[in-house]
Amino acid sequence: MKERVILLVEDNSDDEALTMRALKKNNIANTILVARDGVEALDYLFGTGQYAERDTSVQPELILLDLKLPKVDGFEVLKKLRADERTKLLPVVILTSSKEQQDIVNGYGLGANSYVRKPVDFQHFVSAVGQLGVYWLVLNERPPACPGSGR
Amino acid sequence: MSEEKLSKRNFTDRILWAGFALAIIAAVAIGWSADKDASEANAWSKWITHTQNVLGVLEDARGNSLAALAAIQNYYQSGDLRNLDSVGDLLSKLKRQSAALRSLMVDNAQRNRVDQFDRIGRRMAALSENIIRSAPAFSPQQSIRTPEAAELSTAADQLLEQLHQMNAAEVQLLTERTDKARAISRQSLTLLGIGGSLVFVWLLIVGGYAFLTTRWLINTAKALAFSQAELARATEHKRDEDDLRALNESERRHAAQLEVINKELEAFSYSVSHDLRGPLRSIDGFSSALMEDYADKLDEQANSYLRRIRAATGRMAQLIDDLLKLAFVTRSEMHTEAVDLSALANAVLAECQKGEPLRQVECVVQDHLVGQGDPRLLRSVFENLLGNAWKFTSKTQQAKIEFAVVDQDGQAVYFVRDNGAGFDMTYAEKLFSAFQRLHTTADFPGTGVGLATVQRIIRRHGGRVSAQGAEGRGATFSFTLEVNHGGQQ
Repeated sequence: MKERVILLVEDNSDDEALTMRALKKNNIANTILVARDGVEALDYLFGTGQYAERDTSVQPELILLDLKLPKVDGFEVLKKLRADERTKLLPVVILTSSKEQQDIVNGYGLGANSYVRKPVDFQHFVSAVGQLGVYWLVLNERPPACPGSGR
Repeated sequence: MSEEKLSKRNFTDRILWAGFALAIIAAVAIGWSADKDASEANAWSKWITHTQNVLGVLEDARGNSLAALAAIQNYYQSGDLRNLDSVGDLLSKLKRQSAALRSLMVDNAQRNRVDQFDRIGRRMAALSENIIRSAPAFSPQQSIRTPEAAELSTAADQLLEQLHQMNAAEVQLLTERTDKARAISRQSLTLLGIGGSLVFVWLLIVGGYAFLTTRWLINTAKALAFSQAELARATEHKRDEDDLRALNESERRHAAQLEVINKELEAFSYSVSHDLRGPLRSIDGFSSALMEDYADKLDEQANSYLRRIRAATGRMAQLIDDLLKLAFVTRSEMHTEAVDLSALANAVLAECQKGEPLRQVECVVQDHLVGQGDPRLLRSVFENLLGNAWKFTSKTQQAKIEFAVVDQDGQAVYFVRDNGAGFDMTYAEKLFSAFQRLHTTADFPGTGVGLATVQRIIRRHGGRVSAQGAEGRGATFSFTLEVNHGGQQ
């Protein structure tokens, strides 16, 4: 059985730590791979740059994508992975502080599967992450056509 | 029009006027000359008539003289004295005619001839009387052929000769005078013809020139008028265009400024929404981690501090959200339509009830109230006003919340009334300022943004909002909507 990776695209280390904690608190045991900017995320997904050696037939189970990122922002990442055969069906959840209408519309427009605003209250955040994990990793059926499916 | 051309025009204008003057002078001169010729010709024609009269008299005298000669010759042949009697009659006729001739004759040669004629006539009369006096009643042939009789006959011939000379002279005069008169009239005609033609040609030239000049002037005037009209039009057009351009320019500038402001506001909102919440999440998250992971190492005091930190971050997060709502109220687009205000009030109150199912509040909403406005923004108004009423009646026994309309000077004034905590009217003004609160957070939670939001929304609808209340005796918030289709239906 292959690794069931969750790709967390997050540039803020506080948010990274809190998200990891929330995932852990929800007993989500998947490998969490953190990309700290858009370029790193794309390198991982397409096996380029520092991830040139990576087997791109293995793709993450879920992508938690922040919007405000250095170098290449979340929208750009989303656009590129939706344009590629290997990644176009991957479940992407936008996890961000913004609840700007424009961001929500753009996110869904570019093919995000979900849009979740990070609550300030950590208890609420833990709860939200827990629900996400249950939904996307357990309840939701992965698209079968998606290459690199672990199953 | 060039200066040169204008001065040329002035010069030719002077020529034009001089031409007219010359034509008039020439016409007057010709007229005067023709008149002079005419009067001269008239005089000559009078003389001609006069000569003709003289010739007529001469002709008569010649007839009488011939008759006298014939009578004398008859006497000479027959010796009949009756012939001499008729000679006497004829001589007296000739005497009258010579008198007439003398009065008619003006030149001396002819007068001398008349004198001569008279003398001959008188001699003949004398001879004739002598013969008659000396002759016997029946005179024989011999006695007739006297020297006196021969002289009488000769005198008669002389008389005729005189008449012939006078006649010839008169005919000569007539010819001369006729020629003269003809010459004058020919000269007059020539003068009239040539002069008239000259004047005509001159007038033609001057008139043509005047016509051309007039036409030029008219065309120039027309062109000038047209140019002025064009200029006026162009100026007006230009002014309109300038005004329009200026207007467009200022509008464009305003639009640009507005766009810049909107962009900045958007950037600010985004920043507030996205970036200010991040640190709060960290504070709350790590405080929570401390409380959870190190609970055994922290005493109650430390835990209480951490709780306070977390509460503060919660309030901060709420403030940020309310601020964003306020910003949204200002910059969101308006979509005005008929909104069922009664239904909206009931829905909001139902939500409040759902949030606190145990509370007992008497809610009275007037039915069928419809107002024109943006449904989303009006919902925010009701959430704030009814939410406040719900909140501030939380400590009131027999709480009552009302929504209704009253007519004030033909305008529908909606109001939300409660019998809750109320407020001191002294601070009524402060109610609508952002972050201004008249109650402690401990008494009644809140950020103080709600009424500021309400005021902004109502203002955007062109209406006004006001508050009445007294401490401990409830509050009434009234508002109007500019676009109002009569509250009650």
